Amino acid sequence: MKYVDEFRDAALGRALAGEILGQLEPGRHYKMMEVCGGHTHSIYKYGIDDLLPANVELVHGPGCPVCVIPMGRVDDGIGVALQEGVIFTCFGDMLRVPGSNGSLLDAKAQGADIRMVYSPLDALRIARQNPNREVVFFAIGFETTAPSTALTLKRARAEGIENFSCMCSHVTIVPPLRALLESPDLRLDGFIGPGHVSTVVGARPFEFIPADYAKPVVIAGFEPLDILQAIAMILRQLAEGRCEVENQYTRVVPYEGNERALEVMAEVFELRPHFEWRGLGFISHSGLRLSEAYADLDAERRFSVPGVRVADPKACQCGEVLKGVIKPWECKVFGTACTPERPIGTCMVSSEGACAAYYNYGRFAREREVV
Amino acid sequence: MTPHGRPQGRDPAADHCVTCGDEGVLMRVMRVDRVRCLAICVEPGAEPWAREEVAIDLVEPVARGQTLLVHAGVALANLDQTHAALKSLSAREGPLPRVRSAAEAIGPTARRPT
Repeated sequence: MKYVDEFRDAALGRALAGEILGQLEPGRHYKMMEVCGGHTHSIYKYGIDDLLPANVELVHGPGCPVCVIPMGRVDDGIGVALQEGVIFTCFGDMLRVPGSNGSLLDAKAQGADIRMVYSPLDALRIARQNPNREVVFFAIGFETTAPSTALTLKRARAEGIENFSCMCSHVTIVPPLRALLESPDLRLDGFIGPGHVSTVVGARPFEFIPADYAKPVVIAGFEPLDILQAIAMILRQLAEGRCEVENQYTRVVPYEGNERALEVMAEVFELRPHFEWRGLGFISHSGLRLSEAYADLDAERRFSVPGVRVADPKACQCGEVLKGVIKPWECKVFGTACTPERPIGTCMVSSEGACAAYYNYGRFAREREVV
Repeated sequence: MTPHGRPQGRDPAADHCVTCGDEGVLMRVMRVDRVRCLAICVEPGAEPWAREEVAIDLVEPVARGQTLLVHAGVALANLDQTHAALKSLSAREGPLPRVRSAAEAIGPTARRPT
């Protein structure tokens, strides 16, 4: 397939691995973070870390939208879902995220009408088909997903659908990156920037990383050669003493992003003063809520929401994993009490989560053998 | 046909997160429904009957045969348009920054436009 096959070519992959080797300074340890959970998934699916020299370490960032949802927010969703007459819709992975007293899947088993959708537009269709029920869409995701929600709300408004509302938990990628860069226990040499978020926001929002923190950023695609090339580009910047934002994923990402998507987001959303991130705590201006113009479609205003902050389970070290301080297998409950079938932490829920990626692609077994 | 880019014939839990996150699926446009602002698309490699509706509000104009990047039932990028724009940028401002060796064969990369 065009745009895919050429980015999976084994010979080019070997050549890129050789190019990476040629950029390394002897004795130096390189540590770079892939911000996006999609990259984490690709890295373990294609075994990219096996191709890298031992002194090039990849750290997994906070870019899985399921993994960063705090338990209290799940409880809020369950609180709405259990209300009389509500059809609660959400993305599939969200169903299994544990709250303080079970997951949405558990609430469904108890009788709540909770339905998995692939697109917010599917939730709107359910609202059209059920005019006597209140249909709530639990919106999660970064700037990649937020335009879909915004577009859906605009269509709901245009069609006059009044039994549809949105519980908005969308987040933005730049504030947590800044928080990570301010973290004293994290030393990084560069970032593999999020490809599909950048399709929407463009490359410009990442310019603060080289400007303020002197770290290179390379926005990358999700095929194996995309990621290898991005690593080579970061290493080349370091070798040449440069530090800037480069775009490896030009076949999809325009430098200025998708202007229409940004416009629709600006119309429908506004920044929350604070939003809680799992493992990272409260980060200013990092979450989105519906703007005043769309307040009547805001489920948090339409329904009573518990809004209680719940601390993460003590055994769970998702926070350290999300900050790249520890590897998933270094968590005490990884692969024992916490598995994809029975997750304790959110990083084990979504297949984009670092723990699930390690677990599903055999890293757990390999690490155990090494030990 | 399934509405709004829902993948058919794939186990949603088997491979990767199809429901959220930064996943994007490349789909080819088979037909454009301008009244509903939708494209009827097929994912290359999928069964021909597995056509899906994709909202194209954010990437219009779209034509049959083009490739879209689809996320949660909404097209975020039209790869053929992006490629055309890159080619025109390259023609106007000279070649894109140098990419060495094997990377050169993969495709263009870009730094901040001046």
